[in-house]
Amino acid sequence: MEKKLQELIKDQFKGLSLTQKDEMKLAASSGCSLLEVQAVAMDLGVVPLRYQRNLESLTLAEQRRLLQSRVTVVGCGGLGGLVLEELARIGVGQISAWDYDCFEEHNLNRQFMSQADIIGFSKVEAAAHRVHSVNPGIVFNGIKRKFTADEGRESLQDQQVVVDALDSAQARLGLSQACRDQGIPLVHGAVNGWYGQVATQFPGDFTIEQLYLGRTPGEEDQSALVFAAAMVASWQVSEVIKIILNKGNFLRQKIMLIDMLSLSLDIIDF
Amino acid sequence: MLVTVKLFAYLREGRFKVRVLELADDHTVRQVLQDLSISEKEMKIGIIMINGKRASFESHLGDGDTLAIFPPLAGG
Repeated sequence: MEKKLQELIKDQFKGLSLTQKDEMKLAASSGCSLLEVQAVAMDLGVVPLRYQRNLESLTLAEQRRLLQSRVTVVGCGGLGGLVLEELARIGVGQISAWDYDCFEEHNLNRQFMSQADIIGFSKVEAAAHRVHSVNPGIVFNGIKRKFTADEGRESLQDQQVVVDALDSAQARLGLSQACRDQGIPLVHGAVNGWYGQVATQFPGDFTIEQLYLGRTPGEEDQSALVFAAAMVASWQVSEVIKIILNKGNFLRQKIMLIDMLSLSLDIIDF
Repeated sequence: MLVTVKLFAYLREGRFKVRVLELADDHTVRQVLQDLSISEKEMKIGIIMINGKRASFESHLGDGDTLAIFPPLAGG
């Protein structure tokens, strides 16, 4: 199948780029998935148009590496919704997402996957729909369960990066343990009102424990403003991409504290 | 003695970001935070650093120290 696909792309698209219509035609005529079409095209130097404006900031080889990478997002709320959207747009090929919850009206102020007409619907299903409509090539695996270290540990085994988009200290501690057990980097983000924090925990680090162990920051009725959540989510995605590409500087053993009300961004060694 | 105090996130509301305070010698972190009307509950959550190193509420401050306190956020 892949050989046929290679020949089709070489014959028809050498030196050109690939529209999404082309991707669909090639998938249909070769029997390959859209993800395989995008991947083989890039291997042959043919750029899918959807990624064209990523290039120069990313090399074609880096774009190709994103497509074959696997990222898990735990939580599909204020942080996770936008994290998923950004991962799909930039072209991370295999995305898994955990959330047991359904949308409620009080999510509409900030959760990008929520809409007035899908209140009561599963967050994971909404995420699957959104990711597919943004980038149908992405392989999306939605898990409609509460993440616990015991339940989730094994599913993280083959993941390259995990995103902590949870909303409680307790759940974050469980996720941190599961990632440490599997030796996977964890990109942490949290938000409250006008404020946000971001940190990246590599295997062997105890950043999440240092933040939360013995502390129970108020979790109920927390306010969160949309721009603070969006900003934290975007910082998290940039960390994920840098980890996959091994590029730039990471927020390792540091914590970034963002204050959008009084305009400050501090990075503290931690 | 002079101590620079840095507050973060919602602890700044109604207070300040950074301020140099003149304190009696051997003040503890807890005394400083009480002077700033930071509640026991907020203190329990907060992470304390003196000159960039983790410290506790009972830590004593010295002249020229920088005290930072930030509350870990947990919302998503």
